[in-house]
Amino acid sequence: MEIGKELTREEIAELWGGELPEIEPEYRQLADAFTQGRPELAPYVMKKVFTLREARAACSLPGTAESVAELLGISAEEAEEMLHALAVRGKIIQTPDGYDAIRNIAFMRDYVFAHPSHDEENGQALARLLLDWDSYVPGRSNPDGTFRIIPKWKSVKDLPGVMPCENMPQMLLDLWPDGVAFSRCPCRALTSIAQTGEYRPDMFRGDTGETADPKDGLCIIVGPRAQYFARMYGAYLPTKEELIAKIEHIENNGTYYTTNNARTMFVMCNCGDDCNCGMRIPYEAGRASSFAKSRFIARLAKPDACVGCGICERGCMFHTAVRVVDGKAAVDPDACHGCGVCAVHCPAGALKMELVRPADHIPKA
Amino acid sequence: MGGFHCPLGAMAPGTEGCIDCGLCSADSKAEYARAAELLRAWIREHAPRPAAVRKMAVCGKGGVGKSLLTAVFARSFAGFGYRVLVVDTDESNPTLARALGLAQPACCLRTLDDQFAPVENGEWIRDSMTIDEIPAKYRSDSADGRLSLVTTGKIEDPFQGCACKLGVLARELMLNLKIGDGEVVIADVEAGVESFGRGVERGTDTVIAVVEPTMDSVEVAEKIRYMSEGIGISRMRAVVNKVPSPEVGEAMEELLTAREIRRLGTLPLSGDVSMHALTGTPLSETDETYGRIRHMLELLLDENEMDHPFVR
Repeated sequence: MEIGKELTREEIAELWGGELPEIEPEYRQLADAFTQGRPELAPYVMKKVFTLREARAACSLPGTAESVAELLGISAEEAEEMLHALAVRGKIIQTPDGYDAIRNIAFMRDYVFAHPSHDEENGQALARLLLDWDSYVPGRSNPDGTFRIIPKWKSVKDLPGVMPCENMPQMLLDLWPDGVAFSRCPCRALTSIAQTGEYRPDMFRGDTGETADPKDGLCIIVGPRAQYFARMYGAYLPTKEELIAKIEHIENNGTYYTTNNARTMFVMCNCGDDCNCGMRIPYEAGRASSFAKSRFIARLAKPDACVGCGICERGCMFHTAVRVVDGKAAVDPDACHGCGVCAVHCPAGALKMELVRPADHIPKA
Repeated sequence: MGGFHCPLGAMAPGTEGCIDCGLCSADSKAEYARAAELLRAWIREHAPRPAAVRKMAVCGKGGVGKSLLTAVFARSFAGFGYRVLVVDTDESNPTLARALGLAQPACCLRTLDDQFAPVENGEWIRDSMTIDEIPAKYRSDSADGRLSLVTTGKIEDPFQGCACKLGVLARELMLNLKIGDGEVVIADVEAGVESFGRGVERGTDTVIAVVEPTMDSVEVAEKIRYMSEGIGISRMRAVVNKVPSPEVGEAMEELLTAREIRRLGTLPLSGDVSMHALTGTPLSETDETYGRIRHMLELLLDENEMDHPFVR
């Protein structure tokens, strides 16, 4: 895997799944409107996403059913039906005034693969094209440190100095009821569909518990988007009891919390080593992850209690940050991202989290 | 930067919620830095602030080290640039002024020279008064004006009046003081849990229980936690003092955790501290115990996202 590499026509043809078609000007116009690079790939993504008629409509946005009806010479009802179908498929978005284009392939990637019922329609080739787009992301449009790891609350709750922006359960509860919805992880959806042709959440480590039902999803949509995701993409709005049960599941499973790297949470993911932009692609390219570490690291606090069972090593998503060496767990402090997974799962209670970075580590805004 | 990743929750560039920061289209470190700067400015303006520590009560059984902790917290707060008022309600304990390096206030808030005298004391307390509005005759101030001490009275004669009246005055003061940004009041609360009955903590947002490694002390801390919750103070932290060995420290941690008491830090048994207590001199800022207590305060401020210069 190479980061940010420009593809040849042959490579794009392989992702496309056959000989490359002619690209009509509408697709180029759409691709140019997108705010991120990859001009060699974007028109083909557009061609997979939109029919020619849809592409013409999308080019004319922002607009309304009426404006699109006039453009295409169809009835307003037909135009509305088409635009709404595109919106629920995550290809354009609905706004208070009508409809608008997305203009960002990464946004579109997340929205298009948000709803499980359109997987077949989207197909494996689109998943492959968008997955390749992810290889462009780390260090480019998603520079290191945009996202931060938050430790499992259970692993740090008794330590002095833990900040409110490190208390994930409380932050989620504070957002309930309007600002929290469950959805499936688009990284896991995209990756499994690209690689196997079907949505296979069981391919991934970390006991995600994800299924095709959004209610089981580990992607927690927070803030103003939660309602939109629920309305358009079938994301699930939990009851308080369901939110508490979800937090309990996440606190005990093998994924790690990530959020935007600031003290107020706008985004929340539960990732494994499947997180494309954060770690899978950087690791495959032989780089460090693009996550900012938490303020904590794991430490073998009770060496006598450690029996070298290896649960920590097998559960570590950060590739050997904790290993069993000579029968005892050993933490590499440079590789440890401070996610708390090993501390939560250590049956002997031998691994504990330690606060090692000052509050300033987390940007104030 | 994926669609779930707009820090402001905009569905797409140029739509509702978008401030056109350029983060989602940044294609270089420089563009990213510029976008991040715009975002941070926006968030600074709009993000909710957590409730700050303004009124703190330090309590625990007699002799556990409340005065030490109060004094070092107060001096550290002052060192961080805060304006600090210490309220000494421990009327049997004359050491706090010494530990603060301040003179004993010339006049306490209420004297009990004659318990049958008309109550003139305390009438100066009024709603929303500031630290500086406390009459100067009751205060002892540091040279830089950052640190002030008031005391609610000392019982110098066992047959001289009732401490309850002193407690009432301290409570009135804690309830009525208006503490602004960059200010803090710390009350050294007389030994034991009984002070809660007097409601000193009602004006309080933070309770620090000082405990020593005895089961008695742990149980007192548990009661303090219980009582604090009952009067709506969620921020209660324990400081473990006089710990003779790491094993004892660990055992204490486990006992506190089992009782859902959050710990702020642990202090080892220290000969230096005993010596200062014996000689009645303030602990030096370079003393190891002073540094540990200051670090605890940093952690407490971090827990509430309050500013402090980071000292290591």
